[in-house]
Amino acid sequence: MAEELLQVRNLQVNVEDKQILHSIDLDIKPGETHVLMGPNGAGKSTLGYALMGNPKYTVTGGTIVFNGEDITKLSVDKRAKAGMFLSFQNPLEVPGISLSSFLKTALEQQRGVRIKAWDFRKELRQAMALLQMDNKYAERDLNTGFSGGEKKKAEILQLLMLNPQLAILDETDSGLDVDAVKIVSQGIKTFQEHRNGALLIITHNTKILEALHVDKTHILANGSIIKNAGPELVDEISKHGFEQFLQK
Amino acid sequence: MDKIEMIVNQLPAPTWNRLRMNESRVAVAVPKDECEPRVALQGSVCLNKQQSARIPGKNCCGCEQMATCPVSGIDFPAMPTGMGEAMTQLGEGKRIHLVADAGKSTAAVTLRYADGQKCYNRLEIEAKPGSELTVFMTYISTASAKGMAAVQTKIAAAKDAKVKLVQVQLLGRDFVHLNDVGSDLAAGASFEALQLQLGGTQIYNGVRTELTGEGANFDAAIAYYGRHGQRIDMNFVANHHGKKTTCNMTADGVLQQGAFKLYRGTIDFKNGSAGALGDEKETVLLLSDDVVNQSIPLILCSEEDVQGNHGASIGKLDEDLLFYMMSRGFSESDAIDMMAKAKIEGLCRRIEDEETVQLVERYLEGVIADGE
Repeated sequence: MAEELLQVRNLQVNVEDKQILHSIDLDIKPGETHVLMGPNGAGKSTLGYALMGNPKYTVTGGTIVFNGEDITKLSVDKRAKAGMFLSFQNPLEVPGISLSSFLKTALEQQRGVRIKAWDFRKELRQAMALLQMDNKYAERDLNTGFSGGEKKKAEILQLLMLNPQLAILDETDSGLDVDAVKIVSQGIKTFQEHRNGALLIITHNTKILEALHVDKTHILANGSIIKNAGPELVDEISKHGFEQFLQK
Repeated sequence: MDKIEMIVNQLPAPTWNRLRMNESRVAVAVPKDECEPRVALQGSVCLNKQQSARIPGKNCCGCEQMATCPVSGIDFPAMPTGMGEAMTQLGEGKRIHLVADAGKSTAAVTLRYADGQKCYNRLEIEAKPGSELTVFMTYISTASAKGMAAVQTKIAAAKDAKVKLVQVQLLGRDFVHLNDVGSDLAAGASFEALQLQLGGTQIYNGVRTELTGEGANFDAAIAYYGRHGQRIDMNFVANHHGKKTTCNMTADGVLQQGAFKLYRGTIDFKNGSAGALGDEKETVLLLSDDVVNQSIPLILCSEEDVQGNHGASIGKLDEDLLFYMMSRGFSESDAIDMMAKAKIEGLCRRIEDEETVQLVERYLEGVIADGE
């Protein structure tokens, strides 16, 4: 059995003085895809942010181990360099820095070497073509003035280019039309299949999961994981909602 | 007398004196050195100065020799500027005069200062009807050089002329820089002023434009990177006289390490400027707690049918944005440097001259690489 890529034990997280997450346990192996579902306000995004190390979310107890290393106190950038990635629900606008320049610099930071402009452009164009993004977006300021759909595509573009070991996708499908969900889903599938990337997909919508292989599903409610199961749980939630699990 | 006290960058309409923002007083060295600018011309533009030279194969301004280029009756000395009268009276200065004829032209003016030089240069630009002239001005010295670089630039743009002025200041840390611009725009003329203020210790920068003719347009953008206790003192004035004139002024900068910045931006809708539009916007990124940031946007109005807007965004780097960047692997200091550099790069994209942009990039790499 493969070693765990991510091992979360008894994780407790506060935002300011309020405890949001209670005793979370979660194990993800390399290449596995986990789906995290739950009602609004359950703490799903909080878990994503806490795993990535957002300083607004204070870990008051428990541990996060990534690739065998305790990263509970590691800074955000070091977690990213270690191979973690968070796709934001509301990607931020970065005025003055083009998508292309941002990505090239991020890649150079990650790899620790200068990347030839020609090689980078080739790689970028391939990824943009997969996501049906107009090349012009590469020279526009990152996310600035992008539509909601283009922002989400830009997030998946970064995922494909940065190629982390674990990607946390925080409601990447929200605000996308049917066609855009398919395109984004295709991008995620490429990451999953061709790069053996592990995924933690936070979603309300099962549409994005249709083309993806899912290994495990978790339900988070009131800051605790109340159900762990296989991919069949996604269909069950889709048909009957969360009510039955909350009652139990 | 080695020093002169000057009153510069006066607000057109004073506000409370106790704010000490109505004008600035500065004691500067008497300019005494000859600084010969290097000038390179392309297209239908000629240089008129005492030791004139011919542009090979160019029958500039309808004359064979530069020295006999027809000079119009424009009264350049009387043209008002952003820094004000004190700057005009600073001295004779080394004067050059550019005349652009119809068609596209460019002029590159490089002022390279040696250590200890105290110079005053004047540049007059006359854009004939329908001409399109871009002027690149670069002020440069070694990083450790001290001195004073005073430059006054005046522009007269005739009917439908387009003038783009790019001023890039890359002086050493101990330079005093006085950069003064005045312009007068006839009907349909446009003037785009792009300024990058990166070096120096005391920077006084003034730009004033008279939008005289109907439909004239003024677009000014300045970007600065204030650090090492620099003082950056600015005064932008757009006087709308003609109907349907437009102006857009933006100031975008970064302050850290005890830097001081004062931005004055005035849009003045004069009688007769019906249908005029004026916008000004300022963004400042504050990267340390020891900086001083002062702003005074001003809209004056003597005409009813006009529209003036001003906006400002001033603050520290947004925590969420910092988290976003760090989640892509940038350390906190790299993310801050990148955002600071982005302010400058945003303006660089409008420069449209690779050589100038590369010069700025190299300068910035030096600034950021030394970790200061």
